[in-house]
Amino acid sequence: MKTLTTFLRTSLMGLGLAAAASFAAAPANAQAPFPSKPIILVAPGTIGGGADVQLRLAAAAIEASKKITEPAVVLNRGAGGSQEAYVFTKSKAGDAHYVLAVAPQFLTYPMLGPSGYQPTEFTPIANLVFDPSVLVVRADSPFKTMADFINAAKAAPDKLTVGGGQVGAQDSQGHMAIQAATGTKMRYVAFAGGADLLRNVLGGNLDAAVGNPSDFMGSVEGGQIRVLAVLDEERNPAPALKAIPTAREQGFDITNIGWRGWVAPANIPAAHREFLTNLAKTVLEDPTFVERYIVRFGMRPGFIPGDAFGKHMAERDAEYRVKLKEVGLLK
Amino acid sequence: MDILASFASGLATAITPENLFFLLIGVLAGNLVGVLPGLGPTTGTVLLIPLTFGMDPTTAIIMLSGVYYGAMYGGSTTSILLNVPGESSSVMTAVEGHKLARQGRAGAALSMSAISSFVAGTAAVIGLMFLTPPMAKLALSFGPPEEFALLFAAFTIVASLGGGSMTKGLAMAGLGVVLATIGLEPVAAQQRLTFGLPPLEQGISFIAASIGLFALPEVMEAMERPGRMIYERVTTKVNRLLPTRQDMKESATAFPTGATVGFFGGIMPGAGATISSFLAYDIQKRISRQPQKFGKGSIEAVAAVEGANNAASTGAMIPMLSFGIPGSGTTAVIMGAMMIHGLRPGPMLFEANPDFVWALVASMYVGNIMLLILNLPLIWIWISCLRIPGHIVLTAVLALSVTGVYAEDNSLDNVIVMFAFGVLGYALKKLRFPPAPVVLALILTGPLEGALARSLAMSGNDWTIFVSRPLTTTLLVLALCSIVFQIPMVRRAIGGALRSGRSRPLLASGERDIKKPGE
Repeated sequence: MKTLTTFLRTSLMGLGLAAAASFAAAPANAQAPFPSKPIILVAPGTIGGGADVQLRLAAAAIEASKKITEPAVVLNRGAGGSQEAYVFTKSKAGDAHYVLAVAPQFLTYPMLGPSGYQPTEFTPIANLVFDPSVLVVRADSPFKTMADFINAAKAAPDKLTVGGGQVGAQDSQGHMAIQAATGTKMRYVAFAGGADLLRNVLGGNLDAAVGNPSDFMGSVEGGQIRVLAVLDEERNPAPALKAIPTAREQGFDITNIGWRGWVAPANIPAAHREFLTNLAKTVLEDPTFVERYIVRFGMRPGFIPGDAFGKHMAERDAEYRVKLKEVGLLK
Repeated sequence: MDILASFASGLATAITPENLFFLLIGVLAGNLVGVLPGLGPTTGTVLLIPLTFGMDPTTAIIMLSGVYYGAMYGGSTTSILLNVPGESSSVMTAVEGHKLARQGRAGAALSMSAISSFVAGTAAVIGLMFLTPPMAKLALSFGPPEEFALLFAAFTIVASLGGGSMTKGLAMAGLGVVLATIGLEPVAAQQRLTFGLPPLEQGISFIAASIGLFALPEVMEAMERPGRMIYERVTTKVNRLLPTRQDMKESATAFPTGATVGFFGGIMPGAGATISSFLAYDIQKRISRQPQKFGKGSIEAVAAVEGANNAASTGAMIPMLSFGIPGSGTTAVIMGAMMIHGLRPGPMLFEANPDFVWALVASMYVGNIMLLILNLPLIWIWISCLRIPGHIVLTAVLALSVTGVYAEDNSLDNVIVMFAFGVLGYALKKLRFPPAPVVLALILTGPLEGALARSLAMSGNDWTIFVSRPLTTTLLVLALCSIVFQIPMVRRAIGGALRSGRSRPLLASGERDIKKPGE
């Protein structure tokens, strides 16, 4: 008898808890306060990678701003060339509690192969920063300026080795842009990550490399790597790069500018979208974020909110299509 | 000496109550994460990062590093007791240690692994203290051709992981290679052999595969004989929980082997704790006086493997601290944490933050001591747990495995893969094929192919790049020797030469008789 009572009591409690839990898990609607649960910052790529570091610093900035009572939590999805993070965020349509960090490969993956998403299936929130490519060599390299490097490439076609990231991504596009603008041909070696790239430059296995400032910053500051040019429209504000001329200043009209922004799943209420956009702005204004992300990694602030960001991405999309066709990756 | 003075001041920082407290949390968390199958130090470190917001940066990194090498201590527990590798670097510990456990020697295996981890871990920290500049230079000299040669050399040992037939080992390695090509290819990330199935898009996770191949067949075999205990006889007498004198004598060479292979393996880009553990196993087998025990429960194998994975986790810190280049997935996370805390990993680290570096090094030394003190009594608890009925333990194993594999990627896809490998593993077990070579092949093939592709890109498709670089050529020659010396005909010839030269007959049991004639 006692067992029966206990059993009934426990089951009722259990049912009650389950009911309460199911109410709590009901999807948020526009009337409910936003955010009503933790904001998930989805980081494509490996832990410790570019998107991951950005979002972890952003989470810290959000917390410091005290603009929301719920926590902002970073979720890593996929590694390397995986599109898992994008597919995951797409599946959360209607729920503005998800923010996805995007960069150029967000647009290029669907162009290059079967993907589980299209870039138009998301709500653009804002662009945060620009991330230009830089051309670097080891400090003891005979190339002191970009002109030295280009002349050597012209003198020895298909001989110099240039490292960078995956074929089709920003670094390789920079390499192709350099070749196209100067009529040179060099050997491109694709590495899996910035760390591998840095190691091979420092080890003397490559004649040069194209990468983001974040790949090389520590070694630039330490004097082991020399930056030949910044492939941007203006010079870079980071202390270690202030004195480096752009490619244009050196007579080569080459820019290769990456960008990093946030999108949210499709079909979210306008009020929530506005909230997230303001959150992005808050992050960009946080002094620790500026110091530990923007300056440290040689980025250039470039806040583009809402639909303007969507337009920016559409323009880049068309641009990348042309570039990828030029090199035969796209028919 | 300058180094010792810096170490002393670092030690003073490391043993402040706050740092000691968080170091303890770190190593405990690491130990726990290592014990739980599927969860690795990478996940454990990531989970603790939010805890570090607002902490002093030195304290934060001391704690996170503790998680890393703590996990290497814990990885052997489920490997030995349940044949479930807690870490992919404990796969060979499972192969050998579990057989020891079935012989009633689980306690000795567990304590040997703790002792060896301590010895190797401490030796590696000392190596870190004194050898960082030359080691860092060596790490840098590794370009794609050297990576290829190293990975190729690691590949040559697959056949010896079977503990028996070389043919079966090679067959399993072949299977592993085919499975490894599923997923994204290394250069342009195009999909291969995925048949459009999302779980296969990223390739096969080797955590899912190793848990599937080792743990699930245990569960399934136990289901064949319900109601039986896992272990027939369990003893918790203290003298049976520690290694015997004989064990220590046999394992004397395993300590330096594990420590050296692990230390260098951790430093070398392309290798890491897992590959080092396999290499240490193979090298120990070749120099062992008891080679016949390998595959049937060899305590010196456990010592070598566990020592290697600990030394490797410390070695991986060297490229991180000197160049800001992570030597492994977990060091990449730790580096990310450093950046979040405003530390600048890179060549400037020693100059800008010498106090931090030395406090970290000193804390690793203290952490190893903590782990040894914690783990030895824990063994008594683990062994007592063996008294729990088999069906309860194995249910827990199943639940933990699913959770651990899920936690790797927050996706059920890997869990599906794990179950698929469980079915495969069960079949392999029934057919008496060794699963370890599959795991090693899975781990090595992707990086091997990437290194090959990059080497050829560097050389413009010129294959002579592999013989025109001294380090690459050396490693390839070693790989060749490794293959040649495994051929039975060659081994017999050498055995004969040694015998006539040194009068050391091979006994019928397979042991080398070390008594001189006339004794």
